[in-house]
Amino acid sequence: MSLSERKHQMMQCIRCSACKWVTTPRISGWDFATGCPSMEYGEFHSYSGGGKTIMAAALEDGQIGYTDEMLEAVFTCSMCGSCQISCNLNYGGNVEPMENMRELRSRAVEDGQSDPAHMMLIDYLKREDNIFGKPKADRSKWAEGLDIKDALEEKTEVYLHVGCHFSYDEEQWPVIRAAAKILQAAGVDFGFAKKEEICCGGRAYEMGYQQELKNYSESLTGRLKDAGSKILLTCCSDCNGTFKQLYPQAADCNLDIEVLHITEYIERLIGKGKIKFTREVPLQVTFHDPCHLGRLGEPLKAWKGEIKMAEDPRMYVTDPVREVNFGNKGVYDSPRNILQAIPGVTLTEMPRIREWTYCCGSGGGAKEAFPDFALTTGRERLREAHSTGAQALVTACPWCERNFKDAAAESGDAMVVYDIMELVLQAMEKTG
Amino acid sequence: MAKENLAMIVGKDQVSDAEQILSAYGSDESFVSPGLPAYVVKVKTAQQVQQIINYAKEKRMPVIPVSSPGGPRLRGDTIASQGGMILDLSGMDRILNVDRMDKIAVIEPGVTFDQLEQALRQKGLRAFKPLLPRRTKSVLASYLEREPVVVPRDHWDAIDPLVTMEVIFGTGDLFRTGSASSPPADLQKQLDAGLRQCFAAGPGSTSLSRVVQGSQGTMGVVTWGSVICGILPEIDNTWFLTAATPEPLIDLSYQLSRRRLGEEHFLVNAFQFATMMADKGEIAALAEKLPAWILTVKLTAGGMLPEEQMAYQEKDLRELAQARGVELKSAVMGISGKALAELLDNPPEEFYKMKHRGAFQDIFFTTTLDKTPGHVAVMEEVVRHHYPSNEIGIYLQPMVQGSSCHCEFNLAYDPTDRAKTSNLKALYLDAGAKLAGNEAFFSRPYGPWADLVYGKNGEATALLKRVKKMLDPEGILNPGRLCF
Amino acid sequence: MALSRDAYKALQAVVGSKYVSEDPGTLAGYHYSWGGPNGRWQPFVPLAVVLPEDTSQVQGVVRVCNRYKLRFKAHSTGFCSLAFPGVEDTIMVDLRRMNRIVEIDEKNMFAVIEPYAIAAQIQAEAMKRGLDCHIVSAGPTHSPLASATSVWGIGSKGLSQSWNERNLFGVEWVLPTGEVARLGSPGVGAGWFSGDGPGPGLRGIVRGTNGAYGGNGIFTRIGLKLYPWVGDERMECTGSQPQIGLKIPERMHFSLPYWKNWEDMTAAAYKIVDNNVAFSVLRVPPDCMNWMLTSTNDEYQEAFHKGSVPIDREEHLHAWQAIIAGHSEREFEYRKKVFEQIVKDTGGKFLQLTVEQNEILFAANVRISYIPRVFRPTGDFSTSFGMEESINLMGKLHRTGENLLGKYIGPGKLPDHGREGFWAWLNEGRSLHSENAFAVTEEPGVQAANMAYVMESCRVTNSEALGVQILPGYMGIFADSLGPANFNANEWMRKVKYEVVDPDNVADHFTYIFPEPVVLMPTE
Repeated sequence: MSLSERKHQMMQCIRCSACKWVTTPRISGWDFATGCPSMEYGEFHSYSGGGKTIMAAALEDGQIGYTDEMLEAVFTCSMCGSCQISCNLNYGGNVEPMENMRELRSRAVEDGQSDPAHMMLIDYLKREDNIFGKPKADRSKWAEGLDIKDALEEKTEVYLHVGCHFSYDEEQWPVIRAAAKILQAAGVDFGFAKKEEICCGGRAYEMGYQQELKNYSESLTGRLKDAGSKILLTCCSDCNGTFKQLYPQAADCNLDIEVLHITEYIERLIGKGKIKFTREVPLQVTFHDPCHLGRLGEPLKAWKGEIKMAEDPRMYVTDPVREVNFGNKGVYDSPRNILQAIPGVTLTEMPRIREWTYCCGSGGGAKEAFPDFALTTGRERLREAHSTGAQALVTACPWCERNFKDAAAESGDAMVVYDIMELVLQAMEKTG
Repeated sequence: MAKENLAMIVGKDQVSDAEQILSAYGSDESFVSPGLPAYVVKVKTAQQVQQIINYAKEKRMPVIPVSSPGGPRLRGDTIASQGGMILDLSGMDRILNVDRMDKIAVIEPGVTFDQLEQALRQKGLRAFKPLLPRRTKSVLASYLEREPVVVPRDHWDAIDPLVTMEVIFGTGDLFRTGSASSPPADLQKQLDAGLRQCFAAGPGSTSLSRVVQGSQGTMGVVTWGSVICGILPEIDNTWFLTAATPEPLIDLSYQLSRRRLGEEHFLVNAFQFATMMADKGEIAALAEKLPAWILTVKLTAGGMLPEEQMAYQEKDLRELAQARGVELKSAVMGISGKALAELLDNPPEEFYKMKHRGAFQDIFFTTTLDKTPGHVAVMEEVVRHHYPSNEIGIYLQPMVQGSSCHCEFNLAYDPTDRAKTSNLKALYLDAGAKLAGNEAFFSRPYGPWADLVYGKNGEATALLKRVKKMLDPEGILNPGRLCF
Repeated sequence: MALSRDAYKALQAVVGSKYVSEDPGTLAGYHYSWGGPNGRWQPFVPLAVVLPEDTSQVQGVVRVCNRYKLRFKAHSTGFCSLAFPGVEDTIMVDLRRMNRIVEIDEKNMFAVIEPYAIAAQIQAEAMKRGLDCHIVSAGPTHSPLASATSVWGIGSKGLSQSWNERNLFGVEWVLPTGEVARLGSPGVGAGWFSGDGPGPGLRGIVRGTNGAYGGNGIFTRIGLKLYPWVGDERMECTGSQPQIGLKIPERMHFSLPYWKNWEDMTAAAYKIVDNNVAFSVLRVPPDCMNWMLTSTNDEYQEAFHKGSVPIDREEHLHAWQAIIAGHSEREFEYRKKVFEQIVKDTGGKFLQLTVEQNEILFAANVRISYIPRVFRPTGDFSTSFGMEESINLMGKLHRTGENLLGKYIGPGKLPDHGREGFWAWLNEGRSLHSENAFAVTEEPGVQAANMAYVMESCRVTNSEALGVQILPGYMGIFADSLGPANFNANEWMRKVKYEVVDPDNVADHFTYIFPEPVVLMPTE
């Protein structure tokens, strides 16, 4: 739905400010009650989900135009979806601030008001199929020496989509290599598209470039059809969210394949006895739920229909009935079950977890456009991790991990940050 | 001339300028300087009050409202420091309604606790009273002065047990507060319609009853008020919990407040207890034998399963006490809980504080219970070498369901001994200043305490003066009190 | 008028340049509000919004407004508090950065809070200490400081937690003149435990039944009374989003007794009060409970047409939702037993709900989340007449409501969500709060029917002797219509505003009292 088509939803906002906090039943104290990193950073109401919704409505209504300050509020946001979960608690999808924000960004892009940093990223994307501007040719360098099948050349049961971040962030290669080793050790028949892998398009969509999502979704759909794999596996939560939620919802794309995040798959392999943990990993950890693994990874069906006023009893209903993004169907238990299965690991939860998780700060193109915002948000999450007494913060997304490590380095924070694959590998026999 | 004009309003017999009548109002038990009124005017109706105020306004004549039908008057707040008239409301002594279901009564200002209690008991209710009020004390005056009641459980807010009121401001305007302001204006018609004047706030975006309360008659004259009452219990047991220091009892008191366990609930030291319970001349002797600190708790039960209710409460109380190593006693030195309960229900003819030496001064303020040991220490330091510390009566009354506490030090003295009286006056002023410097909040600033607090109160004092100007533009109501 | 550069710089000098904005996009969020007279977009765009971080900055902003002949309007979370400019040339003072719980005095059961500490935060911190805070109907994201000083302040746990007009202790108040007054004990540096005195209680000019919605200055810190809580230190959530329940703690019990008529329900209410057995009782219309028990409007519609909504509009019309609590097992068992006996003796029955449904409704009662959910059906709701008066009037009031509302329900008029919309509970057991609240839509016919109904309900409240007007609590344009019937309360409000606190009318008067009378509808 375009911004114009969302006018009804935008005007359903009652400016209650619920979008600024985690869903209220989950608030467990004064501290760690907030849910919106953008609001925490920008302070004015315009930075909140409701505030951006109101700005979008004002723009649509012709009351306001674009200004630097307005655009800064629009783009200083990691598009984490916390606002939407909190809003939907009581308003049941009436407003959907995240959807309004996505359309607001799209409108800004259409109007030539894209964030300058994002424009550069999109240039990279168009040139090299990744937003980092790294050569396509280097995409599979991470896998050198690992003897992994080319999923476009050979038929594999599992089609691994590595994702841009793991492909190009050399510091994160040990993680993706760990994932590959785990799969190999478990005897999984998998491959990836090597140098031909392309971006999922999710980050571009969040920055307001909706066509890119469509393009990449079509491209991937074709490849998967050719590959004939049974499972599309990703180690990146961002890609997970794109495949499960954005493709069907925003790109009208049905991949027609089972999509799994690596944590879901490993949990399955543990259950089948194909992964066994024999080495102790004595570590007190806390787990950070990536937004795109959880609430933004919740599978949602495409919906085309209308919102109308039912006559008896009078109230707004959707026709056909539309699913609402409550966040319940995100991947939350798999990483926890894995951590709890690793001998020696003690998991202590942070106050903000699962669908009410607090974003790492790197999503939505915010890290690239507003690095200070991303680092500030990352530091806040590290502070929360410290509050649990954990020695390490474990996550399952390269974007989150990168930002946490940057935030820790920048502030001299000693918190150790792991991807969950690293701990899995450490705990596996022979492979550690 | 004035007398004739006043007589035209209230009738000739109701205005007096006879010296013996005037002198009864000229001084009281406080250290406030005496001052004779020019007239004593007795009123019977709100209309008369309104006319009197309008007249006084025109003549710039001070009006000092007095409600209680008799003394001893204690605080200096009814002394006509700048002349004018005593507006004697004690003849307005009707109980206008008692409602068992809503547990509320509507009374005029001259109604005393005795009178109210009798009327309430007939309907299965009871009055919320301060600790052993003098028999002549006006209920409304007591509540307007925020005297703490001994049942903190039912004292939800500072304004309690007062609910709504009819008041005539210094402007001459008659006003009703809270839900009593709603139509129909006629009180009886309100009652007939089922309205019970049971909601205190408002009307609109003001709650002017709060402004009238605590104003020592400087803002308006209350002509009736609705007051919350308690249910007369079917069973009651009064218990004593004693300790050598106040701390364990303070801890226990907090628990009682949190659980809303017990109705009457207060903490006194031995001398205070003896002053309340012993006959004249036996106070010191009893005090010596008593435990240093005594927490009184009256458990009550009624309604559907009173025996079961009492049983669980007693077990809970016993458990709380045991956990703190405090013994639960039904009597101390032969004085039973029942005897104290009876005394609380039926205060003695002679005001108990006068018993010991014929006169007294009490220093009281609002604080929190946990700070009271500190206040006691300050007080003991102040009296050192000037007053026997073992003869200070200390009364700690949890208020507003335990969120604050009335802390009171009672100092008895022989008023015929000039040196001791003078000494006590100095001590009284010194103690007030030192306690105020120790976070004691003189929320009811009588006499010299007004200077103590209003000077420190910054912009709030300026604001208060503007409120006074709004409600009493000519400054006729009880001039010389507070900061006016 | 545009903000002069001198004034803008002066504001920047007070709060820092980062915290002043006059950007149209930023300002959009400060003139968009539910509950205003003009749909969502309210007529006046503020000149700027500022974000002060402490009392001295608030004072500085107010002084700038005085110096440059500007108005100001205080703003906390913005829900249901008419937090928009009602006049031109207004500076919005968003108190978001003043969000601390300064202190929780566990023993003496009060918190010292700033304007942007929300109820859910205060409640969570209080529960860790065996305490709870009163939460008003606006729900967990409201500002208790705003509710206690400036707005209605009423919530359904009134039976054990009173309401926020009475829960207000010490007050720090930046007057529209720029003075800072501290009322009660903080005025003399004695702590925050009392808001009354020395001498008169100036809380009485801070607010009444209603507050001034910022029209009398800015409250920057208060002492807020807290209440005992026998439940867990951290409540365990059950269910899943959005049907999140709370595990009902030991020594707490939730039930839904219902009766055949208002009179039997009233009789039960008096017995509940006299026997002191309940933690809270709440009556909401059956549909509101059904909305709470369904995830979406679509789900509700399906259940409604299948006849599977758990709460029946007719059979369960006269129902209390009741929470029983005991500090000890003995007290809990006694209270539960007596409560059950009361229901039986008054001819009531208990509605059997599933564990999940009980937990959801228990959560809605403890967290106070009914009102946010009420917006779901149509995105809007309205409230009309009701009262704060004797419990004995419940039947009369509710029947009057049924008759009155019936005239306005129908096609093109108010939606039919049941025959009345009374939300009722007992304040301290000493009075009944009841107000007729119902969902409306933005359609012109509905809005017209709503306004006509609201006006008539005001007249009926007076003519039928149903107590003080609860509807608008006198705010702004209603004050001069309603006040004359209540001993000219409007004129005293006017005096307080213009003679005592704000002689130059610097604080936005729109939701408080106009300088000159504005009569919309005679109600006498």
